[in-house]
Amino acid sequence: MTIFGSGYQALTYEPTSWLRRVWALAWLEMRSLFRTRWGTILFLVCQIPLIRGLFLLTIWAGFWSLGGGGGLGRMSPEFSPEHPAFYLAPAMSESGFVFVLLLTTLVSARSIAKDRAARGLEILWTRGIGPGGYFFGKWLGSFALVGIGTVIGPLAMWCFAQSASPDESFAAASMEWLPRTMLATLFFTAALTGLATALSSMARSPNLASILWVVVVVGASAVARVFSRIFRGESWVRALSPWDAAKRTAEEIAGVTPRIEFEPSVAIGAVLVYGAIVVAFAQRRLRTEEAVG
Amino acid sequence: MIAVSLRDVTIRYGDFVAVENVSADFPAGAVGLLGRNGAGKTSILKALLGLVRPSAGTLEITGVPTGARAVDLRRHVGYMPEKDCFVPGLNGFETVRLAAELSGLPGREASRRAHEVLWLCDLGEQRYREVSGYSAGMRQKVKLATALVHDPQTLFLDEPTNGLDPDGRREMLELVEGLASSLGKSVVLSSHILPDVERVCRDVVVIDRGRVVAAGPVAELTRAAIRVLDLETGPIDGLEEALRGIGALDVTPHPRGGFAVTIPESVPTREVFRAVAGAGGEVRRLVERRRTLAEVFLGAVRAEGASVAAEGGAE
Repeated sequence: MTIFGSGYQALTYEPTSWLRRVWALAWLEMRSLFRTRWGTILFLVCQIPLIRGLFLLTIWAGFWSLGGGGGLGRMSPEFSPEHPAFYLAPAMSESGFVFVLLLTTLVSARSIAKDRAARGLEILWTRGIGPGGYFFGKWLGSFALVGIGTVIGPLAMWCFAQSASPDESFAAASMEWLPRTMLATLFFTAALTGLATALSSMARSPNLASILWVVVVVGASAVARVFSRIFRGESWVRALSPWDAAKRTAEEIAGVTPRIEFEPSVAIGAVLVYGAIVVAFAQRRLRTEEAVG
Repeated sequence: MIAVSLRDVTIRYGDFVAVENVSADFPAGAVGLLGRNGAGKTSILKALLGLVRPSAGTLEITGVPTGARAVDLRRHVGYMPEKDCFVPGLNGFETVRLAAELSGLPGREASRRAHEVLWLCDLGEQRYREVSGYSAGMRQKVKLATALVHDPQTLFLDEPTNGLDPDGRREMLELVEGLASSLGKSVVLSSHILPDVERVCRDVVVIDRGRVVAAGPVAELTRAAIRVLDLETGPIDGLEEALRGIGALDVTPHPRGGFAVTIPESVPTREVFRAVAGAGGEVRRLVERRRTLAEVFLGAVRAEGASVAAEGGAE
């Protein structure tokens, strides 16, 4: 282990930008689930809504003759590639809820807590990124991973629909709503992964962080549903659920008919309040003194 | 040239004062930061790295204050923490490459350098194994590789020989020595294993109870106007009192019999013979030697303890 003859050389390099350094962390986080076979399987399971959408797309394109593609839209807007709800479904439908929750629990909610438990923060923060860059990198990685199914996938489905469309009418019609739809699903994914990552920074262990995230999402949704029955006519109670508030805000951005009817301003306000609360807690828990003890 | 400088630094954790009003200069080269467990060594290193904010004082690394642009400064600083801290799920190569990328090395250069440093640290064959499966010694080596990967000018090594077997320890010390002497790196070696420090470091700073109790070149501290005599006599009652009577600063019994007698340079050796004879015994063996760093350390720590006790008594 002597340095003589070992080839140890002094380095001359132009340091990379802050964003490149943060991306190194984000890229690592993005691949974290694929380190094990089970992680890869779970990721694929979480893509079921996207796979369902692709299947519907092939019917719509006429690859299958199950009563013709035109009938899909009559069943539900979610089933028709000609409707924005189709592209929002992988993230925001009732079935999408389970899979997005599973994926955010496995990735975003564990991202910071697992490093804290392994004392990784000490080694990461003595490098060229601070706590802010660290948080951003962790969020970016989990956002990119979850976004494969909720943003990239739907965009790819639209491209497929566009190429399968016989004329320009689909492109002309869809360009009116596609940018807003993509923005909506982008916002929804960013908000949920952001909340989960911030919650992750508060927990001591990854398992605790996962439980905390599920309790916050499922528990708050349940409370919101119960309260909405008690306070009939008071739509704001649905905003008690961060999931519902983010979903309602995204629906407003996309301009689609909301599944749960309550004031969009209340939903946006609730998202901002939840964001402010978790960011305040995350900032406190990500102080260097907290991390290294 | 001063590599690291502390001026009136105080570090508090709530009400607990870990480091109090410490001023010290760490010259370039290998410098030992000595102290017992809990003396404040790790707190000082963490403050230098910007992980702990001092409640008072200033810290500088190569003349640059640590507080203002801590992230930029870390590009020139390598840190090997005492405790295991790794990003879970990564193998040795990925761990070191991530550290390189986060320090600002471009991707390809980071990979090349990670391989190089892992071979240097004797982990070349094991670099694709997950770090969680490494032995304690291998973890120490991967931490050192992580500290070295971006070729920093200043290295902070916190207990680098912890958990190493004798061969690993020797190799680690050789490497640290080589980094300072051959490559001109400034190395701050925090340790409570005094022979390690004495072997590698030219200078030391001794800390106890959050204060600097001794500092300077090892050669000067061990050569200070104090001598140590290894004395063997027959069993004599009252020998210790007799030796203290001639001005002995310390009389420490050896485990195998006899005493290590610390006396000022001004006390001639014949006084020791007289003291032994006066106590009714005879000298069987007397060897004069330099103080070891351990004796310097213990002397400084005892003096500090006495000073604190006196301060407490006065209050």
